Amino acid sequence: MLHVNSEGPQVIRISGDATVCEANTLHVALAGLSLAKEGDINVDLRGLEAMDVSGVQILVAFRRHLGAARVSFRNLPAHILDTLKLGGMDCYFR
Amino acid sequence: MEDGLLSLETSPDSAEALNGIFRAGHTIKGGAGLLNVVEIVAFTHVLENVLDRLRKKEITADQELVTLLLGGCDVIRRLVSCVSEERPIVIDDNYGRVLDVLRKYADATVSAVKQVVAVEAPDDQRERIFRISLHPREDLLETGQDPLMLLLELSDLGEVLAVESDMDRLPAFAELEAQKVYLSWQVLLRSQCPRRAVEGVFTFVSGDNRVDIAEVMNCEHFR
Repeated sequence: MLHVNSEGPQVIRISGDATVCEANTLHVALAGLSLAKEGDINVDLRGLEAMDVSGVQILVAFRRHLGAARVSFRNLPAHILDTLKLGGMDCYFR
Repeated sequence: MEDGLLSLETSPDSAEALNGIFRAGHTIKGGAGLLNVVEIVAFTHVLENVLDRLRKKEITADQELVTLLLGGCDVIRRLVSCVSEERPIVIDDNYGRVLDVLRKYADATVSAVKQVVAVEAPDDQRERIFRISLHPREDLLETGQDPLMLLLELSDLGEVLAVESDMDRLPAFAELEAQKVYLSWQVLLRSQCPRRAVEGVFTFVSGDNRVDIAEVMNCEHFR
């Protein structure tokens, strides 16, 4: 089960499965967040349990949408980082 | 399945035998699919295509093909025993060899098959470097396939020297269709496996997905 919450205008927490089954939910939830127009935004991925290519694409597109320099992905679980390395996609989460 | 194949040796056109063999293959494939045993599903998928061509009389069950299909039964039996005894499935050379020839029967005319088989040299165990380009169809995830799982399978064949993903086709966030795949990959793999083992990873995603596999001399061919 995917959960997307914002804690104020500058912190987003994503937990659960960011996989194809939840892809539309993730996309819509991120699009609906009320976020700060300026300043840093931290996306806390601590509670993420699984992520496939669809989740990666949504998060990368979201980061580009807000301005890559403003958005930081935090606390990516090690097992997901390992999977991303396998697909050469860890670079997008640094 | 084996009994049916043996009966083909004396009655190569027997519709009853062919239908029975086809049903047996289909049942094995379905069971393996339920258990998510990709190796058996991949193998029986190709086997089923050959059997279907036999049923449609597009190819003939000559002695050579019957022997090949019996070899296929041996492969399946070994894989099934791995599953039933809860042992890890090991893809050996025989699996790749039989699958490779079955694929040719599934795709090509018999005369073409025999030509290809005749000129193929036996594999050696030398180390190879493969450059693999994967450009999946946008709907790949919707078919139940995951590019990351394919990359994981590739890594089981040897050492992944480099892997690069390409996000150039990723649309803007608002235009993104969440379940589609926009990425493509290039992988450099060092392996002692034959080329067909690398091709075997992509058995389910050949079709409209673009998969290019090239044996390269050194890592400079990555680009």
